[in-house]
Amino acid sequence: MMPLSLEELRELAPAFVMGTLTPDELAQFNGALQDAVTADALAPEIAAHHAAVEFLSTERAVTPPADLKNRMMARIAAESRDAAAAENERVLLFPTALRVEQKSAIPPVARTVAPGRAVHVAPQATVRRATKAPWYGMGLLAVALAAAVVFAVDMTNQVNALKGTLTERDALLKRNQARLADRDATLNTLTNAGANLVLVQLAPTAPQGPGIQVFWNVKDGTAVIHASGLKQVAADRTYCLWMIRDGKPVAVKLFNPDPDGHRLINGVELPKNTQGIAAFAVTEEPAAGSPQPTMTPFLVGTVEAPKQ
Amino acid sequence: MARGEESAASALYDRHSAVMYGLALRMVGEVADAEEVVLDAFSQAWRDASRFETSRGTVVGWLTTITRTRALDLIRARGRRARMNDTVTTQLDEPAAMGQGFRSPDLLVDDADRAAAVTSALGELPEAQRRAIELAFFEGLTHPEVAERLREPLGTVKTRIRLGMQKLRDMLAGMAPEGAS
Repeated sequence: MMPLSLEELRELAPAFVMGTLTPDELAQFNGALQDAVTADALAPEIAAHHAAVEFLSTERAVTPPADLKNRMMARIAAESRDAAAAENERVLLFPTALRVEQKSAIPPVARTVAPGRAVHVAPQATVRRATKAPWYGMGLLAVALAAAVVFAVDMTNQVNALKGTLTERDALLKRNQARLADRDATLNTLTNAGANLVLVQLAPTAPQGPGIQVFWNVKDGTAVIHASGLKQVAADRTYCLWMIRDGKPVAVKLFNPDPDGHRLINGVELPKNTQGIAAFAVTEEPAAGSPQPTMTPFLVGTVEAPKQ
Repeated sequence: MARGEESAASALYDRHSAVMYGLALRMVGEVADAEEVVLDAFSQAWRDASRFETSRGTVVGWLTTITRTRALDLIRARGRRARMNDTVTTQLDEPAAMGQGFRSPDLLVDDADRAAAVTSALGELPEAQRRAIELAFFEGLTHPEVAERLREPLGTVKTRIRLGMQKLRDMLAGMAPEGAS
């Protein structure tokens, strides 16, 4: 494989910083960075791309759901408990090593040997105490008690960790249930209408553009809106769907597209008859909405009465 | 946080979660996935805090790298790109920075200002450069994949991304990055 020139490396630098190099490119790039001269030459460019990536990341701040922080803290707490339990287990399994580590009077050599050997290099005074039967019995009892306490703490930690996991799973289940309920509501709107389903296709006023479909269940007075190809709007702006009733615009729904430009909204309330409603239209408005459209609609679709 | 204090993790989350959640949402496209990415990212940050060196970058840069890596892992794991274009999903009802959680007005204003600056800077890039950067940065596409998506020569795509990134950096140079904390 031919080594890359400095110019070629510079062209790969943005993807290196973004983590989107192919495996081959990454291997070549990392190989080139082993050379100090090349690494120095690329350093300013890589630093600049890092800064740009950092700024790009702040392109859209969205406040996360309120329960996400609780879930994050629960996860961290569970990890802390797991770590503490692992440490307790280590102490339980290697009590001699722990005692050796804590005895400052023991010569340094004793602290570096394996746990099983430490007893053989313990100070003479310790050996003399160990030969006294009552102390020996009490020591065994203390160890047994300590083991019981550690076991109990460990079990408690495991139960708490499981509770944390369960809470997270519950939250996930609830979100999935909510998603399924949304889908059910969409299906109900579409299927319950029977012959009273009006489909309004909002076409772009320009040759190329996004599209919106309004599936209007006239029988129930609800609608499903499906948008596609919409551009993202600034944080202080939003899209607005208008209903043109008796020649006047009436705001129906404010919405923002998903990152991929799509959006599916169900449960939108509309009248239970089409009388006087000639069309739907879409404009871009301030985030709080507007009583009247502030621009010429870029999507318009006329309403046809349901075929009976 | 390097000492394992949970209160520090809480403060870090309060300060940076909106930006990281916005980034994750933009990258993975679905609310549930974005939440998982943010959970994973902040948990990893808490575990790895002792390895973070302030001399090598800012906190937000470090968190961005973790969040993007988690998001890219998820995108790649789920069979990736086709779904980014085809899936219709439900989404937040609120516009940006108006979600369900509580955040202080100061943070909201900071984030909104920064987001406006980045959006404005992106808007000033030539369309071809902006599109190439968005595909690489937000969708995690490699250069050959961006070239295929845009039906442009590979060399052209590389140059556009590099020039665009340089322009972005120049335009945003006067603006201080989010503070290290």
